[in-house]
Amino acid sequence: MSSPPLFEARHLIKRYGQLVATQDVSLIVKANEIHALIGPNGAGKTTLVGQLSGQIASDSGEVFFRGENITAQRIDERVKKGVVRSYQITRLFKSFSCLDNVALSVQARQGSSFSFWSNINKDLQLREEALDILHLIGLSGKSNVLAADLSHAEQRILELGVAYATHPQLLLLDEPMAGTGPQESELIISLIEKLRLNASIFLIEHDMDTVFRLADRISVLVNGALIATGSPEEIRSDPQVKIAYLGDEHT
Amino acid sequence: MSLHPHQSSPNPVPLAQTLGVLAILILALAMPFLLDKIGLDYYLGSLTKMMIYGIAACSLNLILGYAGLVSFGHAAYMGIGAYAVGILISQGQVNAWVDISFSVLLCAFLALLMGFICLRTKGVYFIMITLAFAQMLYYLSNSIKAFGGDEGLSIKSRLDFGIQLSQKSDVHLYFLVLIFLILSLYLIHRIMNSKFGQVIKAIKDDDVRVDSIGIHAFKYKLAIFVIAGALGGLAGALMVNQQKYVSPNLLHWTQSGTLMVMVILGGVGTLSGGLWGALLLLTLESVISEYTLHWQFFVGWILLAVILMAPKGLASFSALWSARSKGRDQVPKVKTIKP
Repeated sequence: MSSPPLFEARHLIKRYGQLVATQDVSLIVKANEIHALIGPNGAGKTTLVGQLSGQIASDSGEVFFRGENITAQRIDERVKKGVVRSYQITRLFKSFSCLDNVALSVQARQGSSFSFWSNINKDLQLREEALDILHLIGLSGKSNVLAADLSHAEQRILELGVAYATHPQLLLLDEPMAGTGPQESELIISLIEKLRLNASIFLIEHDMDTVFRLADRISVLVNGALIATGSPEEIRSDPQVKIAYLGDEHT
Repeated sequence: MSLHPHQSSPNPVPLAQTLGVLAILILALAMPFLLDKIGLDYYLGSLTKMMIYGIAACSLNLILGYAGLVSFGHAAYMGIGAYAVGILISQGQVNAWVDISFSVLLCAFLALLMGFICLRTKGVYFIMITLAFAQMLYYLSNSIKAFGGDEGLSIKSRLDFGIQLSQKSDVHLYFLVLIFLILSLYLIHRIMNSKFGQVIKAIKDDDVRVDSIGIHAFKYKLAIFVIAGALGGLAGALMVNQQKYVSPNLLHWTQSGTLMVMVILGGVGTLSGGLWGALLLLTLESVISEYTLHWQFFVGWILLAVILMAPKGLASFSALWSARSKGRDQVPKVKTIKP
């Protein structure tokens, strides 16, 4: 028997009143791949990431991680398993320095957050690990700067760093390049290429060029339903995809 | 500004701050003698009351200030803590350690129950449900005739601390309250500088993100709620000793409001903000009410000025001062408080 896929969603459904935001979505993320999810605005991509990460409860369907059914687990429990999301609209601890933002993720992974008494600033190991992450994402020069005072692009990068510092096995990245200019996007793309060395990535992205550059496989979501999954070449030549999505963008 | 892990003793306590704390401590210790010398020993009781309110306001600051959870029911703990001790004393149990432990544990348990329900809501709903809980207890205290009903409960003697302390002496009570205040502040200081405290501060910024890095925020909110409730109970237990009286008024929602005003005046999310707020508000109350019954009208203007001009309350001034004495330009930015 072959080993189960890294991550699998089966028949996920999410309704908001009359609106079906996610219609029977099943997908697989394999180990070591970048699996991109594309789709027009309002297709339900962010809702789907919410369901996969445990932020949003599905109305039905199941989610598996390394063969274990994690459907009933909260987001923080899934994070401890290694399934971690980032946000399209930056969610940082704005009153914390860059270092403290990342350090909290390190602390979360260590599971030492119920330590009431010892001074956190004396935990040099915590600080060093957090600094290593800042080095990796290229923000070590800003370690003492408040997250609120960073530029938008730096915040987007720190957003990824905060997720990555939890040591994920699967990163669910919700439009990591949202709102950044072309040069900044290049920075984030090269960062994603670094992160993929240690984690599989499920990437939601709007920019087609980026997706076709980075992704090993692509799924296309339209009106809450997956209409295709395949290699970039397959997706590029899929007539349905062309009509639903690429046609609009590339005419 | 690059930072090397080994040169890092981050945020060393500045000398000015240490000296300031020391000066305040010496002043607090000398206060009974000073007041006695200038013939104002009558005010020692007021000062004791201010410090008790200080403990309560500092405990509220844990949830309101540090965690950003606007609880409008903190008087419940003070009231229940006071009633617990009042009832025990009237039943003849005057051992201070037994009574205080009981009221602290009772309030911790109450906070656990209340928090378990209230913390599932957010924003305005959280404010309303904490208020509702507190008012429920207020009406309960009003209706139990055995404990004095709406007239309240008078106690004949104070708690017995079992050491060479006179139960009648206001000076002894002053020092006891001072010790409890210092211990409470030290506890809060340690907690807020720990990893746990870091989670609490992060919850104020964004509790959803706290969940999504793998920390179950609810659990931490509940824990800080329980700690705050327990300290509120301690304040209540001391209060009944100072006043020799407890009435439902101590649980009324306006009391919760008063504690919130103290926190805002003194400094939201600062260690000693609640204490300074309590000292300022109660001083204003007694000074202005010498001249007019409508003292709250004037306090209202002061509160307005603080919120608009110094959202960190009195603490903004001390932060300004210590930044200047360090000779660096680390003046904290004026930020508006989050609703």
